[in-house]
Amino acid sequence: MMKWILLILMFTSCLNRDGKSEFETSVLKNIPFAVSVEGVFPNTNKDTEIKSPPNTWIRIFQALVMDESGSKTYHCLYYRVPGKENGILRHINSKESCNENYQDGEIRDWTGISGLKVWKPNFERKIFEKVLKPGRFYLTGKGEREDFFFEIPLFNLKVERKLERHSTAFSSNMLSGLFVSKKRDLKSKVNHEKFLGKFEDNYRDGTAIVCQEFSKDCKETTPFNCNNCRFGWYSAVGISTCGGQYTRFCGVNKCGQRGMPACPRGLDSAKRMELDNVMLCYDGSPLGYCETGLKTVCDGKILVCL
Amino acid sequence: MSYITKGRKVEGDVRVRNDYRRLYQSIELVQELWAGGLRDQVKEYLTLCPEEKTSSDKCSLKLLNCLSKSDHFSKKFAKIEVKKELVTKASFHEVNVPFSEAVEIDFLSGEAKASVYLEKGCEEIYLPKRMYALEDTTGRKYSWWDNFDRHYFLEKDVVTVGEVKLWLEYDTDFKQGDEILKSIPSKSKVDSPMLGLKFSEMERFCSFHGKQVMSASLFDAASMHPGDLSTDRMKFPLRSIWPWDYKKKTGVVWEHRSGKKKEVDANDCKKVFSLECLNEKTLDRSGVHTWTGLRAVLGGELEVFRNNIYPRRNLKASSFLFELKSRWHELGNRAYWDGQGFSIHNFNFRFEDPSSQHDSFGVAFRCSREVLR
Repeated sequence: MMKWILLILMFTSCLNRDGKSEFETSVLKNIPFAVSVEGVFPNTNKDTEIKSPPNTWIRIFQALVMDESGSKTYHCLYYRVPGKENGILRHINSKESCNENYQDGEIRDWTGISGLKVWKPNFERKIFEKVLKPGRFYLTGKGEREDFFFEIPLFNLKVERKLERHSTAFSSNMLSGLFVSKKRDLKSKVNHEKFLGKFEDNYRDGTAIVCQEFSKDCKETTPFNCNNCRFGWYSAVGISTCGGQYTRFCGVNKCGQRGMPACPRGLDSAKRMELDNVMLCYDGSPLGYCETGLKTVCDGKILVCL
Repeated sequence: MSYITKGRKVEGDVRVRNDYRRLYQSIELVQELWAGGLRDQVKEYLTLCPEEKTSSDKCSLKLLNCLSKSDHFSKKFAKIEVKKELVTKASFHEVNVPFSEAVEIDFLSGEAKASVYLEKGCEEIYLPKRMYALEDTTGRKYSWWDNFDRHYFLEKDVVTVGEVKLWLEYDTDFKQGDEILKSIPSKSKVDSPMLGLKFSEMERFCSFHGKQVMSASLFDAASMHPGDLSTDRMKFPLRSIWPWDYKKKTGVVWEHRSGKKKEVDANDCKKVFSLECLNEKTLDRSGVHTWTGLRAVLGGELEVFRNNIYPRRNLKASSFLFELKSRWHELGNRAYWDGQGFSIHNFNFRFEDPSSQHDSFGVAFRCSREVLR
């Protein structure tokens, strides 16, 4: 009996020598809760083994995860490319960004790796009898004992979607309309996200907050931040000379009223109505429409109704 | 000794890893049931609430509650607990969930646990990208708008009493909240249309959810029959007066107007819930589904919109206040409501004024939202 117990213990200790289960557990406990991922290895989805530069640590990605107390934690996956020795997959859990750092933080290594390939498909595809779905990372390769296929779901990240008639309204996350977070420790102090704008804000009073804006030469001067508007958002015709580049404001939409932004008509429709070929925001522009009796006027930033 | 410690650690790691894998599988399954309704494979787990086995409802809270009570489900997948319905941008909620409304569920599988938020996204429809005819009919060239570079989701139906009550639980800064709650008749069901909000309160409701009060142009686009669906850039503007056909001399209202049909039957009421249908108390009042999936576009309740061109034409008068053959039962025909109160003087019905039979009216509304993609 004792002999069997010893054998089992020795066997499990051998299993652990490569750190596979610790690595996998540590990754699955954290990274699926990521709210953003950055610094993704450029050769992802290439179906080629990562072989160079040998003996060098390369970053596969960094994920930002909110922990049980609501604080930011950073999780990085690194890979030491095989040289004379086999490669190592490393998970780093750190309070600081690990984007440029493969040595600091809580480290879990999985050793004996070769032939690593990384996938983060944008559409469903089949590789060697395995289905790869969008919104997940996949690591495939050879371990010390066997080939592996490791799937890391990324529930909170956006995937591409096609919007058309009968499309559902669910947000385009890995699983439509689903968001996950670590079970929050209710005793911990919560850092409330700052939302933008008040209910009373409006363009006429100069209180409306811009949550996306483009310059005349089509550069995005305020990146899209409208999902943080507390009371919704709406589009207005700005000064950009590129179609589809609207200025967006937080708050209640009162377009068409005196002193408020004109209601956007759409470029194709405005073109049927003698839209200027160069300018979009100008007095009388048909790119917006107003209540009867008012006209569109470009106030230098926005097409408004006066 | 160190081997023993390591061995136990590995066993522990493997178990926890498998707990997380099972947890993620169960999250995937529950999302599928939420977004797609009940599937055959899962019916066997619903031993505790057999009444749900025949339900095909999507976004069904009842179904989630069934799963939370099912021992079979918790043993095979994860233990789930439905926590609460959320208006998610309410600032005191501990997680910034990127949906306007959601249901919060706790998942537990061995040592693995997570909070999961399911978006309440089943009651909105997408407005297809195309050119639409604007209400402005003074000159053909000024009568277009399009949404080729903007995306809109529209609520299929009007806002309910239950939704308003939930909103006021969260919008504690809103001073008129108590007054509104008191004004809701005690006999009102949670799924009854909310009829007693002033226009500014409707704006507050919609914007609190990250939305806007529906505009007349969005409502018309989603309810008027598009005619030719093979092109999204029509040559001539078309504003059909019926949701079921672009031709004028067709459908239930025209049949009654032309005298082809005399009696209003239950079948007619299913299409347009008019004055004659008030005796049919059990009948659903939401009428036909339009080409986009919008409901309650003719008949039923009075409904207000933002009208960005003719602000004094903001009220869908087509309702059970008028007989089926009334002129009001046409898309695009709108009366006026000042948004301040519910007495006769707050309304202006340009023709067929119903004020001789009524001294006050209720007004429904719905919201819409723009999304980036």
